Amino acid sequence: MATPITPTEEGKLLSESLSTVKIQVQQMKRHLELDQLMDALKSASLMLAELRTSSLSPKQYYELYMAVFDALRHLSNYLYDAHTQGRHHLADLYELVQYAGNIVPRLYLMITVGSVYMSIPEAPVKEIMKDMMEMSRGVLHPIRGLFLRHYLSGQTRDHLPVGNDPGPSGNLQDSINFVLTNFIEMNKLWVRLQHQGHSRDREKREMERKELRILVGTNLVRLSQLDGVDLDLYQRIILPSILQQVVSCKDVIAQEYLMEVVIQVFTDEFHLHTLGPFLSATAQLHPKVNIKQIVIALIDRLAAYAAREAENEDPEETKRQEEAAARRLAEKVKAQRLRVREHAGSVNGLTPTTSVATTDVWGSAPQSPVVEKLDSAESDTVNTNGDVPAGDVNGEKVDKGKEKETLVPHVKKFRGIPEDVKLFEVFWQQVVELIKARPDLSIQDITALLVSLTNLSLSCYPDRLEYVDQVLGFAHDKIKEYTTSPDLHAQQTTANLASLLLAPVNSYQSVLTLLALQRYQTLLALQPFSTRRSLAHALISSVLKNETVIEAPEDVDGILELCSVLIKEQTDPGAPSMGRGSSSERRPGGPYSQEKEESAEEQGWIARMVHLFRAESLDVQFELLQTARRHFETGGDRMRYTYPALITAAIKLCRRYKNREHVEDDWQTKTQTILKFVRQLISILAVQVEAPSIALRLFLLAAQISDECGFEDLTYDLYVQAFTVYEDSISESRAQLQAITLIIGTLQGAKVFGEDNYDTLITKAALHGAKLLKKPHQATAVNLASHLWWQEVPPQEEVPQGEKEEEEEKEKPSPPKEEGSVENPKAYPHRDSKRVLECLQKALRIANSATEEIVTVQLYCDTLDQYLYYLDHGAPAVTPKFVNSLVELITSSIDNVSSPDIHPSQRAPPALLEGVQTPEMINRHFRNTLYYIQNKKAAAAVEGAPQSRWDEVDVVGALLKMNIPSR
Amino acid sequence: MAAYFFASPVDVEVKLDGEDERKKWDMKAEKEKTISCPIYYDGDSLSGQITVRVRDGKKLAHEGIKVEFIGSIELFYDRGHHHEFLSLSQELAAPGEMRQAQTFDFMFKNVEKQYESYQGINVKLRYFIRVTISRRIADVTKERDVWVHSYRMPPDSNNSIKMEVGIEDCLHIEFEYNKSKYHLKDVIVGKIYFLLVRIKIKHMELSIIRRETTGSPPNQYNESETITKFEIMDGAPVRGETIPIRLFLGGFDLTPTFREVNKKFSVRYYLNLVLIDEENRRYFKQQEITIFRIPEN
Repeated sequence: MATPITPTEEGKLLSESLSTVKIQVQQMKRHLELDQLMDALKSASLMLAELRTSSLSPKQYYELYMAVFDALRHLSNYLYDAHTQGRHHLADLYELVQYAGNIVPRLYLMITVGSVYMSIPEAPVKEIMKDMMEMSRGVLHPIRGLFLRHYLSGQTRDHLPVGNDPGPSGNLQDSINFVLTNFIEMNKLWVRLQHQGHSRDREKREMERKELRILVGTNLVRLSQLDGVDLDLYQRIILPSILQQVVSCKDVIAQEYLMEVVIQVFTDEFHLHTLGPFLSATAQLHPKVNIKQIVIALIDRLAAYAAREAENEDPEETKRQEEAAARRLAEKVKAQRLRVREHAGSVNGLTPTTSVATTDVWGSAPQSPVVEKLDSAESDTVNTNGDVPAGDVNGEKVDKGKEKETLVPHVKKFRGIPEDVKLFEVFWQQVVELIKARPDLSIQDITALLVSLTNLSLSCYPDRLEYVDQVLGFAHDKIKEYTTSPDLHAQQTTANLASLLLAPVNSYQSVLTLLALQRYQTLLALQPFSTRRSLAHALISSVLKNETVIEAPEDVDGILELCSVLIKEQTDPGAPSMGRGSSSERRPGGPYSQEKEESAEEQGWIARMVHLFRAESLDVQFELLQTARRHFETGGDRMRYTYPALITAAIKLCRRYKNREHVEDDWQTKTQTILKFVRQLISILAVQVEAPSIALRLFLLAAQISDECGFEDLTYDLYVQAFTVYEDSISESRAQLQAITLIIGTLQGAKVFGEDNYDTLITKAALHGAKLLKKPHQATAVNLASHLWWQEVPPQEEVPQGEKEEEEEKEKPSPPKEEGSVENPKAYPHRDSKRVLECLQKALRIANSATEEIVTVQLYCDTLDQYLYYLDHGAPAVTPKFVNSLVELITSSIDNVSSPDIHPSQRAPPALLEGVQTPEMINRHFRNTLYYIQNKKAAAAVEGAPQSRWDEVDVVGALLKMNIPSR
Repeated sequence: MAAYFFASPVDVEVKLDGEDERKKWDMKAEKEKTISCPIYYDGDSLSGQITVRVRDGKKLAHEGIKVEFIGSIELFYDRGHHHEFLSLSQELAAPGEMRQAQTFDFMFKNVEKQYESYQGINVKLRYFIRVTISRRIADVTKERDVWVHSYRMPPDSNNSIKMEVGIEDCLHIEFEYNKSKYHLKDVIVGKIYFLLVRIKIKHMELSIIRRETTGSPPNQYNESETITKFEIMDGAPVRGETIPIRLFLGGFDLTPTFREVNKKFSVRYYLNLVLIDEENRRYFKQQEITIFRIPEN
């Protein structure tokens, strides 16, 4: 033994042993066939003597054991037959085999005979069991003992009595004791294995032990498989014995493994009723035991059980219960929040102290005995709901279970958890005890435990907010305690805390529930940036996914506070991997250096969420927006993304006011307030975050609304702001063109202005249009500007035919159809066909001055469209002759464009529309225009209108030129 | 030829009454042979017939025929010197001449057989019937062994043997055998309790030792013989461990304990508890037990 045995030697030894076994087995079989039992037993004994070896590793020993095991089965069968046929009495044989001089073969034979004997009716089973168990004590060698006892357990398995006969045939109690004793002894042997041999082989031994552990665990499986073991037996006898052994063996591997096995092999029902003892035993385990793993396994198992039960339950019932739970939850949330709200004013400054006070309750509670613990829990519950009339529902909850019990004989179950089992409370109490009893437990483990606890609470008691809150509070304290420990920033801890915080987010339908958890925010605030950020993500996506409508300003406040990581400039360093240092030592203002895209996406989510801030009451809605704004205004550059949503929402609100103008008395003042609010926001957008183009658009949008509501001054001011933005901040020529187009578009629909104001604005717009840098841009802008002098009152019935692409473009802000505004003495509808003509002609002049032919022709075509429009709409100054001459002009110059020798690079630069203007397109454009004119003329002729202006349009030449057959 | 001359001229056959009904004992003879002897108990009468056949029709002249029942102790170191502690004799025939086969009845009534038959290493206690035909030149004798068992009353007091032994600071055990006196088919039940274990014990065995003492001091001879070695523990025990003992005696070739048989010899039995450590050192403790015979049912 002292000399180490090399693997090859071991292999040799094994094969030698195996061959001996083989020979002896053959002999044994031959003797058995000849009915020479003595000789057979002798062979068996020789074969079994091979099991006396100390030179094999557990694995090889197992191989040997299996070979022997097979042979012994043969013997067992023979013995059974021999007994039933009256050849040999098993009682005699049982004595006979005990003459074997060596203990290992002797015991194997004894067990073989004994277990066969047990299967015979009328056998003194009890006696045999007791005797075999007692005699097995003689083998103290760990490996041999383990295998021997494993054999004992395996052979007797099918014959263990399960009745309640007090006589010699044994009863269930005997069987339980038998298996338990075997378990205890095996565990001792297993643990002992650890302490043998050199300490330098420790790792090897540990590995060997792990290979052997299944032998020990099998006993527990046997126990769980015994028929007739009920909760009472389990609670009274089985579990205490197991736990006592597990605790007293003081061995890490054994404790971890066995606790795990206990959790896995016994039914959930049993676990539910024995949480207390189990968990308190857990607290007494060896300091190196991974307790967290054990408790988590148990919690997970029960949580899974609850989930499974919920599935198995009658769906109706489940639904009813869940609804009831949801209702209770909602009530509680309401109550809780009401309280918070009430206190908010007075205790605002004191919040930290109160939280400390409550924390103390939890912190100190574990030290007091159980009763006090529950008391404090209760008082907290009452306290939580103190001010609320509905609060008593919750306050008396602790008693409720018992009450129900007395009323209804059958204990009600919710998600498979009987109501008389205070699952969470037991776990809570035990976990707290555990953490207290085991100061060496790392924060990683503590947090992992808390995560499981939270999951349990969420899945089994979805309506018990205080449970979750309790856990969160505890986590908070612990983090405080560990501030100086580097473990706090271990990846694991962080991940655990993240999932701790994430669990409620995922579990509760409405994120608003979180706001009822007083300690959520405090705990969240302590997390490193990355955690906070991912939580904020989860939070928002939950809101978005469930379309949670957030109705109260406090809620908005709360939610945004929770997401503040995404909204506000964060003071701690962004990179979570650098979070090695304590989070309290904040590094001053590293620039917010997230990747642009990602951040844009985040902000997009927030923006989406803004639209879920919806309240029935308009006033409240405004309040919501103001609250949101208070949060967003701290966000710096993020405002670029968040403000537009806010502004849009505000504008939407304006519309709602406007729609209710007959109901709301002071809608005008309110709307004006909102618009001023909007204006402020947009200005910030324009100035601070330098988003002029969006600001411009929003200004115009606001102006439109203002216009609809009939606030002339305000509208004017908004236009002025739009122009200011245009002048100050939009410099790129293309953007300028688009901006001008937009301005013109909105202005064209404006109805609120008096002559002067309108004139000022449109002149300004036209001027800006004419001052664009590029000729084509100028021409386009001037073309469009012409419409400013020809405001169209949209016909009620007739949908205006989109005549040209440009037409649609500028018609975008279609003015609302309102009679009232048409009749007011304002500038609207402002019509001045002379100015229109001037504009068009100016456009032609500009077109003419363009360097490239193709550009000129295209602009001509565009202008021709405008002419036709005005002609059609009866602008007096625009006469057919202009059309005629322009058509001629185009006809004459279009050839120059169509010539194929134009280099692709010389194509006309794109104007308002994107896309390449090729000669073919211009050609087709013109042709289409001509078709249109032709159609119009034909229509006029059919109608027979006395003096249609279309008659005077003469395009025959052009038609010929373009090969269009005249009709 | 010599064989012819010296061969006994007669055949003597001793037939015992009820021989076939009696239990038999296989007595070891020379060269692995065994002689089957009927078993008699103390006080049993011995009766039977002795048939003397003359060979070849010759006549045989003798000076009387007698039958003896003798109990003797033979000590091997003192070969040839038989100590007869019992000698009963009966005259079967007066001196005369035999011409044909003749059968004599004999009977030793209610013979006291003080000792049990015993065949040991250095000593043999035997009972036998001896027929002697006295002749002038050489007597013709014929011996026939019987085996004797005797029951002794079961002892009144039969305490258990309980003892604490140990090596200081090294090993401390307490052992207990349920009795101090066992009958031949008894079971030794006991246990070993480990109070202190500081050595690495490999295994433990219990052996039964028979010690035969012959002669008297100073010329005393001791022969120890291990009847069985019975492993009762495998592996290293730890403090607090209790190991059970159960040893069936019925299967072993035991005799009752004999003390000072006729001041010539003793046969004693000892239980020897042996612990063997990993360096194959043996630690042992011997304890005498008394073995006695009870009637078999």
